[in-house]
Amino acid sequence: MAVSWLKKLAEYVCILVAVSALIFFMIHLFSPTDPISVIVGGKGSTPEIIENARKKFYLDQPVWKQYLIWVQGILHGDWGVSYKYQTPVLESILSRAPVTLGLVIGASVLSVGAAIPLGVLSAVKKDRPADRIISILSLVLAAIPPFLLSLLMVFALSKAAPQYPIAGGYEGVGGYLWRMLAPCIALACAKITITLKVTRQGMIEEMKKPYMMNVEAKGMPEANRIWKHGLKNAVIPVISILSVQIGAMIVGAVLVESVFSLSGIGSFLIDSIKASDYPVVQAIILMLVIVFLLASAAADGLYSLIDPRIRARKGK
Amino acid sequence: MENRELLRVDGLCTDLITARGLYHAVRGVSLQINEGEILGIVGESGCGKSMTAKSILRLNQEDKTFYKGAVYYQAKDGEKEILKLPKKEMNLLRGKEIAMVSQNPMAAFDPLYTVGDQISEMICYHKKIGKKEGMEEAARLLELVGIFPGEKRARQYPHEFSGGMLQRAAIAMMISCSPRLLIADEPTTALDVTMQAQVLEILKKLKDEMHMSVLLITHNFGVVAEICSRVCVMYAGQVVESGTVEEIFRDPIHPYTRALIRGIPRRGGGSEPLETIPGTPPRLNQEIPGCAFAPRCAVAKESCYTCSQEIWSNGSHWSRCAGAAMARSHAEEQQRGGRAG
Repeated sequence: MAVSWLKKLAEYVCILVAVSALIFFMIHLFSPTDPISVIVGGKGSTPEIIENARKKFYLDQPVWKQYLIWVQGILHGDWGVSYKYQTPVLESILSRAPVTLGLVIGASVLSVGAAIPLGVLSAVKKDRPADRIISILSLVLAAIPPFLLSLLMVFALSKAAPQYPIAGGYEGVGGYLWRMLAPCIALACAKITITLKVTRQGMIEEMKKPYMMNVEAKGMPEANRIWKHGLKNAVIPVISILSVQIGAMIVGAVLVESVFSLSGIGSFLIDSIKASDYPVVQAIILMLVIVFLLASAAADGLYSLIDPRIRARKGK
Repeated sequence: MENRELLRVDGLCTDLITARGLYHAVRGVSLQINEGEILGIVGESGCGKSMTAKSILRLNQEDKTFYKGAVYYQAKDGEKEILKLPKKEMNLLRGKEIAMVSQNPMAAFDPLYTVGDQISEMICYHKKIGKKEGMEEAARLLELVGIFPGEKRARQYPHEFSGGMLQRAAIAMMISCSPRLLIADEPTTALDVTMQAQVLEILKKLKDEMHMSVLLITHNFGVVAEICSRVCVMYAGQVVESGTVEEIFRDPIHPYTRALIRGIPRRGGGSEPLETIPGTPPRLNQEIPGCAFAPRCAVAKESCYTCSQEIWSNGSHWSRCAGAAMARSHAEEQQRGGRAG
């Protein structure tokens, strides 16, 4: 058991090293703008100021050395300093994290919460009206891009429920959840379809397996067959889909954030790319990679929690 | 107790909707199982034996199956017609009154739950007892079929069992609610010879000690000879001959039965090759006007292809081919006559 965990850990460390190098060198070697112009901005800059700035941001060092300094900093909890704001990157990111995290987690919960029951229903009622209706609705949802849905929702909400906070800040946990609800729905809708289809397909295959006939021969009621045996087996591919979808969600979050005027990490990333604020860009991308790895580690853990055969293979 | 009817199948037809059209899997099967007896159903693969078994418990996909005929079950509270039973009552019958062990032991259990959990889930549902008692009962049942130590084994997953153990565990599961009829669909096919003997021993014990009736489906005449009291021979979705084991082995009437019995390897049978039946069984997606076996039958006449066959019966012995019976008695008479003359 310990060995397999160590292996996995080593794998993740390798991925992190490779990806961080890729991000860093791509940005610094192929940058179209000179960072120094971002740092000193348009102010009447003397050669002296420029020289100081170069020193402060290690731009006088060769790129490989800058990379090492960056990595070393991260290991000590220092994610670098923004060119544009001259403030620590980590601070700016953390202050925006609740919005994006809330958006991604909330949208995941909503989309899974809708997709799995609907997928099961769809599989049980295969080829019957309920299945057809669900299938058409889910295709419509998949066809509407999140930003369009966000815009439509903002319009609709401002007309139908003017008291709903589609912009501005929030107060307390209740206020936060209420404020996040609409953007979460906007982000969740497009993600329902794939999860639903995978659940439906998995359930249909599972209900056809020979052991299902045995469960039926035992006299177990249909609810037991569907929810205890069918869904637990069918949910395994759904988990892998979800762990990949988290990445796509972050991309979607960028657009939803800007429509609902939430200052989250997504819009921060876009702004920083536009401003060539590289420390912010590379920090956010690296964090996204870490989130991705965490999601896949969580998926791995869930697999072995669900499937004793995977657990047995890992134990060896 | 003996010879009291437990289950009677009356003219059962099972039609399945498949991608290639309607498939007549069972074409008018009638049979009867008495209390405390082992009835064998023998036939080639695809002859409708498993389909008959599944139809008795209505385990085919409901919306793609049509049943005709009737299946009468003598429940404690009177006769029940299984094919007309509402879903809820059907669930109370399955497993509790009539249980079924299926062909492939590897596919009998859900891979994600422990064997004990799957046995106890059934006991808890039918006997309305707690989970802990259910698990204890599951462990006891595993030991009953020779899986030791039951308590530890009950906590293991199906992939930790061997094929033979899984088959025995499946039997343990299916007898957990003391059903009055156990349908065993080729319970020994997937097992090696020593395992086969063990499983047959268990079935025999169930019959003798728990007075359970068993419907044993097999393609192996040896298994039939060993533990069955009566046999039905099936071909192309019909019973072509039935009788006691003695009658069938000593005095097979139907050409198909005779061909099957000639195909059994015998001790001291010499070196000549075993007889095989030429041709293949008919496809069951079309109507068969005459005798389904005619194209492969050595003694078929022209009328066999077009007309339905007359039935021959003599007490408990019954055959779908009266022609063969007549021809045989005719030949016997001639022989006797010849000797006399």
